[in-house]
Amino acid sequence: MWEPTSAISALAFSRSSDSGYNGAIPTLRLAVGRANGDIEIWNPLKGQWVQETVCLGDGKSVDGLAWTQDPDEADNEGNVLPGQQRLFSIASSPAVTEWDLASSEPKRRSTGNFSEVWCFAAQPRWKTSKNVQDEPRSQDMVAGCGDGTLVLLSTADNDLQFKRFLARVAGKRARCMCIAYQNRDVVVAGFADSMIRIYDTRNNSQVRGMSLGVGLPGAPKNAFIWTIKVLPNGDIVSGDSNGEVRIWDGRNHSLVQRLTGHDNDCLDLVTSADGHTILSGSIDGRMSIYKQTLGEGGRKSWAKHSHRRAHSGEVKAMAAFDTKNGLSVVVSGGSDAAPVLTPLREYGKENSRALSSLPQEPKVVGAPRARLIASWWDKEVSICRIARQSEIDDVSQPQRPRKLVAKLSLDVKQAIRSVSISADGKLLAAATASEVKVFQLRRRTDSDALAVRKIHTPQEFASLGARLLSFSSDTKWLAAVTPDNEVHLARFAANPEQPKQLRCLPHTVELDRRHSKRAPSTLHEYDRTLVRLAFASDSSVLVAGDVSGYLDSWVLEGHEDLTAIAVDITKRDSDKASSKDGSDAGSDSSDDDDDALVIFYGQHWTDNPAGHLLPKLDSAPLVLTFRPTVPTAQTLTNGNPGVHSTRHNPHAHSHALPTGEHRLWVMTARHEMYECDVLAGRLSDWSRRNPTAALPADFRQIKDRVRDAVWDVVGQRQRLWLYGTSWVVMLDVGGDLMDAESVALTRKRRRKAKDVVGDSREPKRLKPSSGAGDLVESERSLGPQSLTRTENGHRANIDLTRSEQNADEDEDVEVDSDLPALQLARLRSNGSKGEAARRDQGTEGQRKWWCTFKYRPILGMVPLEDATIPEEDRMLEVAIVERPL
Amino acid sequence: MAGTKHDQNLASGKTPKVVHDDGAKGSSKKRKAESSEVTESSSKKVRHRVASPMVIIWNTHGETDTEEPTKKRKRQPVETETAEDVQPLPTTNSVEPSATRDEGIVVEEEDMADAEEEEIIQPRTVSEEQDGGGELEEDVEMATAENAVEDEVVEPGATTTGEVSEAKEAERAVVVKNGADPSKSSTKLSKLQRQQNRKLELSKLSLGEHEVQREKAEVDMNKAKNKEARIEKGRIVQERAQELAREVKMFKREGLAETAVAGWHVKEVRKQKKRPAWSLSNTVAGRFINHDPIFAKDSPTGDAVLITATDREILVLSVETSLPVRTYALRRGVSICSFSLDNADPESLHIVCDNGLSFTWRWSADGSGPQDLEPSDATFVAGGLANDRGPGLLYLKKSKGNSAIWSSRSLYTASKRLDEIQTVSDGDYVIAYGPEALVLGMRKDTGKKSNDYIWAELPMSTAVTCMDARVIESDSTSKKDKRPARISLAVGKTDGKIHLYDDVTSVFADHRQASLPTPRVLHWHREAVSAVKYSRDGSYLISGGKETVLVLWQLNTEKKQFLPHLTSEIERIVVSPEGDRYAIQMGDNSIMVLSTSELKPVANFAGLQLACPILRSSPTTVEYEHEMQNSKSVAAVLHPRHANQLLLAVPATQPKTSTNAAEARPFLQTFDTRTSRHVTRQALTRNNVTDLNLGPERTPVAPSDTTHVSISDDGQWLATVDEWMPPASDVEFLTTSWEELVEERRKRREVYLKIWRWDEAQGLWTLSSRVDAPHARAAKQTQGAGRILALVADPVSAGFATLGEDGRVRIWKPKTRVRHGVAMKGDGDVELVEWVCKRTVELPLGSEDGRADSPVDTARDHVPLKACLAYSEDASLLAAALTSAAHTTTLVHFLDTSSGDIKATKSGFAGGEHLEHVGFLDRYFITVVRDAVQIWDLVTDALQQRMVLPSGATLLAINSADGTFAVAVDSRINVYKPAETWAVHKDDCHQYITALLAGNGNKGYMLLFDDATIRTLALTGAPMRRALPDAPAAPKAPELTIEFGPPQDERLADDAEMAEVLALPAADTKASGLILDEAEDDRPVVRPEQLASILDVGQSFAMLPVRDMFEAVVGLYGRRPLVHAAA
Repeated sequence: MWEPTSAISALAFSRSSDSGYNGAIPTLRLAVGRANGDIEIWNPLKGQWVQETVCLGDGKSVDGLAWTQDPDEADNEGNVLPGQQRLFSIASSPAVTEWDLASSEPKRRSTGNFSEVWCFAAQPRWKTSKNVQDEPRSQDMVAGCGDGTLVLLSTADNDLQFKRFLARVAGKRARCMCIAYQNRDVVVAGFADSMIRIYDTRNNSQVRGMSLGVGLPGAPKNAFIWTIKVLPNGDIVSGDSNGEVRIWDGRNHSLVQRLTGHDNDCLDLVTSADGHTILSGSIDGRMSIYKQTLGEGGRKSWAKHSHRRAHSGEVKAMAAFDTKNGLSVVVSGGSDAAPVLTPLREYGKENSRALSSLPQEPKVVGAPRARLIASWWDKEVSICRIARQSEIDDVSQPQRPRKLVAKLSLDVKQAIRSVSISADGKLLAAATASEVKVFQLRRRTDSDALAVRKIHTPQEFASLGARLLSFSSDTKWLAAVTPDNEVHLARFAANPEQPKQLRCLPHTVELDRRHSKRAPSTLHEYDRTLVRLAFASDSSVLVAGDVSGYLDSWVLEGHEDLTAIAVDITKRDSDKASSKDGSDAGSDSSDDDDDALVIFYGQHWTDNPAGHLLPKLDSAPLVLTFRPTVPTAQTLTNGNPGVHSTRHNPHAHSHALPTGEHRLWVMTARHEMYECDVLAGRLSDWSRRNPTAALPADFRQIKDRVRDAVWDVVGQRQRLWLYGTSWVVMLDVGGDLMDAESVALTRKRRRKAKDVVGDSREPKRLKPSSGAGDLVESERSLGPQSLTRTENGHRANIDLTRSEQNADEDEDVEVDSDLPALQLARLRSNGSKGEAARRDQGTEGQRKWWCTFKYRPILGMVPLEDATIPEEDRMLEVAIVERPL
Repeated sequence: MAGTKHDQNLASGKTPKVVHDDGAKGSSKKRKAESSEVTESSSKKVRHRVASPMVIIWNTHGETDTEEPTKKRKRQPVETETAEDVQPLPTTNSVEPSATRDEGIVVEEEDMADAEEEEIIQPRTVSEEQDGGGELEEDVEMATAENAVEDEVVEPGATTTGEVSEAKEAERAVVVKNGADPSKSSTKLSKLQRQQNRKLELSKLSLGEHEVQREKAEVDMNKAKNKEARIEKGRIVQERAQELAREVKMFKREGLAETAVAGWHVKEVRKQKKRPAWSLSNTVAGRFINHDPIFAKDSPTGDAVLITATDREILVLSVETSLPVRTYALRRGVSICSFSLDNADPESLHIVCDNGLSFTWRWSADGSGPQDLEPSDATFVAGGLANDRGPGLLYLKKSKGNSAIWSSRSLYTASKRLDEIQTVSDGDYVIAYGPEALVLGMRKDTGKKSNDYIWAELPMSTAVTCMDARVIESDSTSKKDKRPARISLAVGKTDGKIHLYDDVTSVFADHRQASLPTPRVLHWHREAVSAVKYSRDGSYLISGGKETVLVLWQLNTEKKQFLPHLTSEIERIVVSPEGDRYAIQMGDNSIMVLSTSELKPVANFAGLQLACPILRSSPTTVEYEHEMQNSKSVAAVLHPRHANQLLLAVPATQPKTSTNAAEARPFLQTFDTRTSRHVTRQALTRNNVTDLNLGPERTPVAPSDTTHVSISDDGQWLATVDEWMPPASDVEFLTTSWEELVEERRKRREVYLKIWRWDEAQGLWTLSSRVDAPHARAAKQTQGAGRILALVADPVSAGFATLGEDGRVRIWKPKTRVRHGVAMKGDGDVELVEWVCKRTVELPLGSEDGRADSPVDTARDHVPLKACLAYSEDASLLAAALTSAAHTTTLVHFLDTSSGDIKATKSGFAGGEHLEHVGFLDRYFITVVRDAVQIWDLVTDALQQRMVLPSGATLLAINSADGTFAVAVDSRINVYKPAETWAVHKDDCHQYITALLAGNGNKGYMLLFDDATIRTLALTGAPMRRALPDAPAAPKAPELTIEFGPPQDERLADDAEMAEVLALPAADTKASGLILDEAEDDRPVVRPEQLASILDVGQSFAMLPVRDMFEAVVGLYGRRPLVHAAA
């Protein structure tokens, strides 16, 4: 089954602050490097922290991460195009790797004649100075190696090249442990021989060497300098194996202060953007905070403020993002695998918070009808069968309800990125970055185990590789999102020779994505990365959502006609129309896949005509799921009446769009809830009646993002079960979550609040936050949270927890929470509080929502069906896979 | 001129002696007067001053009939002064150079001494005396006219007003009259005299408390004055007079009592006039209140002193000598809440009492009385409010649930209780705290000295236990900073954390901007931080708590330094203004002064460490309760050889606030009751004072409790009994009921009898023998050790007797350890002695009274509740009695100590009651039951007397030396003589008496009160004491020797006194007839050091009263030879 997430070994924000950018502010992402080589990209989303994508590594621990941004460019119209943000990593090898975030694959590696890289740092971004009209320059990188060599690398011209050696330090202990740029020209490096050396990159000269001196009594003579950072004013901060944090003057390189922050090694430290706060993390899991204060006579001095144990293991890596008005947070990670968010500006006033160490995308898939669960790790897929409830009850001997029925070890070079299993459990597809493999599963007659047969897929499909796979619910279609974010579809059908065997039709199709006009992004193609894929329950609609919140949708035209030829390749209609006058000329182009229209059994995929009407989501979708509908369309023997091949139209095909409602239920990373009628290209009526505001308050307070959803649709019952790492929520989406009156009320208040705020298009947040946890409750807070101010006999209560910059956002909260009418409406509509709840107790099914935190941490939840029970009596049955830490 | 004055003075001094034959007091006063005269005669300007009081006296003896004209003349200046009485006192004070003030004090004392004398000699009404003052003005010279004026003003309450005008008046007068004379000195003189006289008045008033008659007379006088005033003067004067009367009344009612010195002496002298009488001495010792001591400079000497207070006394303690310099005592029943130095005038101390009265005391002046008496209802006072109006003091006033900050008006009313208040930067900032809130105040306009403040109240989630604020002057170069001062704040919490706010001024910003940065957290203390202070330069923080470790936080580097293993938990820390000393008030009722640089103790002021009274509220069975109560009786004994040494078992620490903590007493404190000084402290049992004293379940490790202490007659052997039971939580799992729990605990009880030998070389008691479980448990229970209910020492030889709950009396005797027939010798040729149980006498159980209970019940009923044990004076007989629930009649058994036989068994002593105490006195046997004391004549075997006592907890002490015994019931004490049918003396101390000890010889009785104070009840004025010369009053002017060098007369006097003292012992010892029975020449060799230790105290003000000094000397010469005593 699934292995635990490995330890965090490196962390980097794509930028450290909002300040310092004169143009557009680049997007903010957090890169989390793990000991198994994975790099996760997290989106802070103003404090809502969601794991967007994962770049699978090669098993070598990510020792360092760094982001650069290419210089801004001006396009023809004079608009400034922000430069691309690029992510680099090092991993116990002499190489520096650049990552292609869009495909989540390594892009290029820079190697040279030097030993393994221990640390590296990116040059500060070039800033236009007023006096010198200089060409914008790219950021260099400096890498410190195990043999004491410092190497300069250039990232110019969207490339990564060895520039030159900066220095070679001889000696036994000349390992470069940490490195930082003091400014664009000066590099500060800490070595294992307890020396800090400063180099000027302009002339390759050593400016200065500073020694830590003899270690503390009892400690080894040589202290390791584990980490080095530079404050905005140029002062150097080092953390060493004695647990001391030392501050060195940036100009004359003298020791300013030594602070005993830890009892043992200080492994990493970060500084705030204003340079008045330092946080350090140590090997015992403690994080200490230091602040600069004015001492006697206005002399500035540093002092340790407090410490707290942030991790159960060590604090290996830390990263800080600090802006004045928004996020101000330190992320730390270590062997306990969970990134911990510590408030920086609001330290002591807000709680710190641990993010989930489990992947955002569930690594468990299920075949409800076959009661199979498949999960994967590295190159293996395990399939378990879950016993029926009745079977478990019947057996007198208590036994585990699950049984491993198959284990697939794939002969692939990379780790498996995605697995999909069809609902009937007959097909299983697994994909790596370069391969897609499909297997047919059959239950052996003699045992519980499954017989696995590999299904041949067309070469162009098999070698695509995929980051997402999804079978349609009728097992006929397999959709695959390639690393390059193309969507390919393969059709499966019974083998005519051996009816029990399934085969993949020899042609696959690529679906075109809509090229919408997007705002220029510093992450370029990454914004188009598809993260979710969903088939409608009748398999006739496919929707894919990408990181920036755009939805692409395709529909299956025509009706299945098993009498038609399996694969009929024709030209696209548009092509045909354009080449009507010169049909001969264009006839030979029919082989070209791009232009060809592939018709499978009379059906073919085409763009959803209303696709452009679908709204852009506010953020990446986390749940894309179609509301199940009762299948009505019957498969016709000749499904496409009136479509006949003629001589002029040898590839006649139906253009009939799928009928019925195809309601796509979406929940985004911001926990905004939408339901779209995909074919109509608009929000559904239900969604209009039930905006996000109608979600119960308990749910909206949950910080863990949603993982996936399970439908429970039987008869009139239409329930949606959502789950995250720590919670399971049921929403009754058959009716309205809130009555219309209160929704209107909510909306009105919202609009009003919006007017007050101005043109803030931000969705409302419940709480102003600097990005970490909630406000510390008063019993545990460090300082008082409010005060009473009395002047001239006039008393006023002042809340100290809120900083003035958040005041605007506060008003929303006040409006939202202080409204008695709205609270009353909530009371009336929800099923858990007050008299309303009691009144609803009698009638089962009146409950609009329900929430539990009983299960944790949830790796995945898959629905199961028991075919022996008549459908009307079926209750929802799910298997919840917990991953104890 | 000087010569003649001197003569006059001498004459005046001598006169009373001759006339009244009242030597002791008079001669000392005389000496004092002479010496001061001599010292000052060198300076011309002083002469006038000296002259005036003498003349007063002179004239006092003279005429008395010129009353009317004097008065009339006096009135005039009074009128002028009342008109401009807005001028505050400090203004005049501040212009005085201190040197002249010092001289002034001399005069003052002299004057006072004379005045007292005068009063004693001629018990006339006050008005007469005043007239005497008035006459002076007529008779002598113009300069003294002012004195007369002041004599009028002298009335209590008319204190601070009108000084300047008077001074001016005086100046003018002097200039007119004396011309060349330095006018300044004369103004000073007048003012000083005014003060003296005022003090005199006050002392008289205090006297009045003891003598109603006198008081009444004074009041009458005042009333008469008022009346007169009303007639003669205008409305202002009238009001003033009413005010006066009101204050006097209040004064009387509240009874701010004597300054210790003046009051004492007057009383002494007064007593001598009467026949010998029992009298209660002044109170000594006491617990320091929970308040920061104040470091100050004593202006006359420039010595560093520490000002602190016990409940009823303000103490000025010298850091150099570890001795009290001055004290100021309040009437009993009034306790001091808080005190603070005046910022503008660091010589006056503002004191707030729990009866809602506040007043000012000039602590630097000897014998000064209270000033500015006013009702304030405050609970805490802090100085340092720079203010152009009012005294610049800040008060905290408590009401229900909250507190208000007051100055001249209410400044702020907090919503929570506030405990202490602090000002920084001349009152620009005010910080007050209570457990639940912190209140910060900022003066609106720092330039103007207005009292408009902006207040910020911060609620605290974890309770605040201590706080210190400090102003940080920021860089003067940064002009942008509008508010240069920043306030950093250290707040100690109950969870052991110290929160450090670098700058709290940001809370005063406007509504939107107000913020408070998150504090620094310093967490080392396991338990609540009890004290935290900044060092002077702000680079250190000093904190202390229950861990008995002083923690010094180096704020810049995060390093900590520790001063561990202090003897007791830390309660208060104060940093001296120079930053070179720390004063640490500790839980064992002591204050230690440490040098900052070496952390070495500079001074130590240890008080009596008597355990705090315990309020018990948990429901327990009666029997168990009784047991507990019994064990909590004070274990104290007076040293038989050093009559002033009190040995008592004390707890390691005494919580000042929580009284419910059952504190065991593992330590022995030796306390000198004469000097009110701590002598030694040593551990008697195992204890974990300075260790981690928590068990694995975080429950405190209970130390053993010393329940009994007894000392042998020769002072060589000390017997202690300590017992220990596991805490209830340790055995709770074994039991289901309360009874079982008690039984389980008893099964695990440990009892030790320890006998200690005095080691002269080390000055310690060294353990000689330890007897584990000396007695078995009652009712033949085998598990666990039985309690020892009584321990008495053999009054003749070395030996002890114990009575245990098993109903046995054991007599313990020393036995020389012998090996091969040779006595073993230990270090220093001391014979090794081991203590053995020589006799065990099982007391026969009394009749069962026909009760047929179940065996279990019987077993429980047999557990004795109370035991009495007493030796007869010649140690031939031992009376023992046991009381248990099973027996209603208590049998008293008389044992022959030599044979161990029960000579007689008698019942009926108790008369159906439980016998509480028994004792032998001569041929009488004294028994104390619940509500009566009975005297039995053993010869006639009949009840001699039965005297009814009020009900209450009784204590009995028998003083065989003077043939009396005393019984204390709660706060009352009665002294009886067996032959007399009434109490010789009855007294009510208004304070719960926790221990009553018989003093040796004629010391009478020593009373220990639950507020850790000691008083002695003694027969004073006995003829044998008359020959003693009186000593100069203890806190008498040190400048005698310092400023002018020792004058001839002084030295002579000293020598004479010494000679007298040295000559005396022979006679005294003869009289006592203690030693002379032994003819051999083994009289003790008195080494000069020993004498020096008594006589050479260093500074004369620290010298003992002569009586005590005499006794100490006699003690040296008259002690019994050691060898003899041991045998």
